[in-house]
Amino acid sequence: MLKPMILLASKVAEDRVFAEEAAGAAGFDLVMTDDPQEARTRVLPDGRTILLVGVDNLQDVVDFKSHFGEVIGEGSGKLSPCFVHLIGTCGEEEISEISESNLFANYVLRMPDQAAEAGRYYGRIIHQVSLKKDTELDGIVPPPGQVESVRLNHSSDRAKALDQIQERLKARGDVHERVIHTIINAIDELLMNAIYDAPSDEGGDQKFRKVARTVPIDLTGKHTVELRMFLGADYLAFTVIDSFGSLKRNEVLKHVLRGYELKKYEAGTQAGAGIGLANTFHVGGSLLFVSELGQKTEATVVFRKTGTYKEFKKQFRFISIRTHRA
Amino acid sequence: MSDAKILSQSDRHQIGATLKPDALTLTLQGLINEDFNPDAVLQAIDAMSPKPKIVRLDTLTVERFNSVGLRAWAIFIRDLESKYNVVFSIVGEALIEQADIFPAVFGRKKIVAEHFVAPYLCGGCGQRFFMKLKPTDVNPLLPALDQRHPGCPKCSTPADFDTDEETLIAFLRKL
Repeated sequence: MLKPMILLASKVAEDRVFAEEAAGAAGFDLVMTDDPQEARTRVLPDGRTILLVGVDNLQDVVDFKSHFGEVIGEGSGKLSPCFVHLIGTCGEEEISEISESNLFANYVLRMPDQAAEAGRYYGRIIHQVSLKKDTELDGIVPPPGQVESVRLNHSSDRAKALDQIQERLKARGDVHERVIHTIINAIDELLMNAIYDAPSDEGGDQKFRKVARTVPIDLTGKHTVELRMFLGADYLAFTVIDSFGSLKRNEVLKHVLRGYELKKYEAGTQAGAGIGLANTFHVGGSLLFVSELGQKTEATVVFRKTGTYKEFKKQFRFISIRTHRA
Repeated sequence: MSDAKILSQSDRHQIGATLKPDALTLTLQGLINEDFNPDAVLQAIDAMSPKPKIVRLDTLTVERFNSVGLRAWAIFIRDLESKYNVVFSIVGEALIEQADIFPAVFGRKKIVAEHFVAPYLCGGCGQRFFMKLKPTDVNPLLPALDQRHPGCPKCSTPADFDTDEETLIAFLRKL
């Protein structure tokens, strides 16, 4: 079987380092060019191409769209957006243009001073999002560690689960308290999204979205929420799974990326408006979403454990949003 | 003479109030989430006698805000500053963290803050602690916060600044 090929189109030197390390870690072939037009001609017709595109400003995004718009899509012979990774800096001018594009599923925040290390780690992610349909925590997080799972059958289980994780992280003794609060907040947001925002009826109305979070809700049947966790030595990862598959890809992307750089959240912002996810990405969490329309959404947050909170906040991060029809 | 009472409480948070003739001080502790009811707290303040002219906020011991708590807090501050003069007696780390992503948590007016905290981490014993600073303690004539290395209160080892400078800069810009 032929190996997948990583194709990098970027003028940024650090992106080349990143791609080389990622390809090495994923075990994939690598082709690099700084010319997007040439890159387009190198896209393989057999679906083996994983495209990495460096975007540094608005013009780069416009060029990306014009060069690759016709080759990326869901039709046969096209490159799936799931195989497209943008590498950028969340710059203010290009974010709205990026957020409205459906040509990619993965956005990598460029960290020039961590390019090699980030690339080695991201190779695992490329492998995962290219070859696996679901999110496998032990695939995206390096060993050692093991996946654990709990089910939430009532909205009050949310606080209990958070308390238990908080106690376990404290008991480890190698995670600082501020980091623990940050991690717990991230899991809390994913759980609230799964419990209150995900449930939707056949018409697409979110039945609990406007319900106060203090109102008790039975999470039985389709409403049951699963929380998986991987408390590894170097990485901590958590997946929250709901059975509705109602994720709105562009809305999530818009909030997460906008929140990273722009300062537009105001008092009065409605519940579910993405502040929690934006905060999670802002403080260092990587986010992976896999959503099967009407079936399930897996929302994952990954943090690298660092020695200091300063390093924690400056850690490499990315967002991946893959949506599928069941 | 002061009158201390609890304005809001759950098993995860507490908002204490101390009313003195010149000002009301609210001290927040724990997790600010859906249990925080901004309307109830505001009504309790409005019902106080004598009515305070200044409301001082101490957020040092707030551990975290979840998104529901953040929105409630932003609405609380907006409504509070429309009726009272709001002064942050001390701005804790959990609130400073929001300065560059959700500035509405500080209200719409220029922030009046008496103190804020800068976190430091001891490389010797691992203790993380806060330096309590006045806004005037940060100026071009003094070393930047990441150039200061205060002694750890536990083992006296010089400690390192332990957050990203951008967040604190974003906060200081609002003062």
